[in-house]
Amino acid sequence: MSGAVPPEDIRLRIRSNPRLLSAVRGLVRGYLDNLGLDAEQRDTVVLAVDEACANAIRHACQGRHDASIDLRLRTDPDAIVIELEDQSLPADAHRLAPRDLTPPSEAEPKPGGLGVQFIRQAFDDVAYHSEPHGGNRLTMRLHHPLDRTLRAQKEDEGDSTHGLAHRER
Amino acid sequence: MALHIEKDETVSGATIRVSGEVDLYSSPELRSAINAAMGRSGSVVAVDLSDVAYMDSSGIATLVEGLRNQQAKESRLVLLKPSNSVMKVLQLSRLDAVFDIRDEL
Repeated sequence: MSGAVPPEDIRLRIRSNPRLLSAVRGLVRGYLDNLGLDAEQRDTVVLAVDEACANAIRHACQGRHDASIDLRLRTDPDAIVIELEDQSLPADAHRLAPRDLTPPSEAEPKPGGLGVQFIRQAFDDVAYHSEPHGGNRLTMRLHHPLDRTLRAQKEDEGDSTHGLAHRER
Repeated sequence: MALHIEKDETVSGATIRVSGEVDLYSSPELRSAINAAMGRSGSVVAVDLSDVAYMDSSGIATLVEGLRNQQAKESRLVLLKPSNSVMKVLQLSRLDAVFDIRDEL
């Protein structure tokens, strides 16, 4: 046995149906477990990916259940990268505006934008790109010291400079 | 893990026991249960979250909505024994101090 196996890319196309979110969470959880993330960080990332998918369903796909959302999970040499794409019209720019973190008073709790806040809390870099005639792409990067075994295996592959990122192309 | 909701009428109101996962798909069911339980004036509606394995922002928004409805419905919303995963999401939301969270009624 050679220890942890380097995880491969996962590409998944789902319908924009909220009923599928539970299955997506299970997949992301398993992928992150393979990468050796501790349970707390794993759960934070799973929540964030769930929120990103839910936002795509609600805003970009406008609640339709028959649009497609593409999810890609991959690793760069220094980061876990999770990308979400849909072919719907651009979402509002304020979709990714960070939430005011001031604790709300009981008189006026403000849950709006909470999903976006969770995404920003979970990842180091979050980039949103939209095409004017349709198509949104959300790229979320988590700088993570990959499992040592995984690093060693990548170095064994020869080109440690480009590593896994090069191999994937 | 599908959402499961049980409701017990109590002298002072109702206890809603929630188990499973609360997300964009399932949170409307929780919203309906809370709204229905808050119908009685002066009631205390306790939402038992000890068996909730997962909750996302739509679940939090549902609980916040219950909080907002307290005054209009003359009811009181109490969160009972939130599971670790629910507590974590409440803390991430910075809304944990806003709710009446108790270990028992």
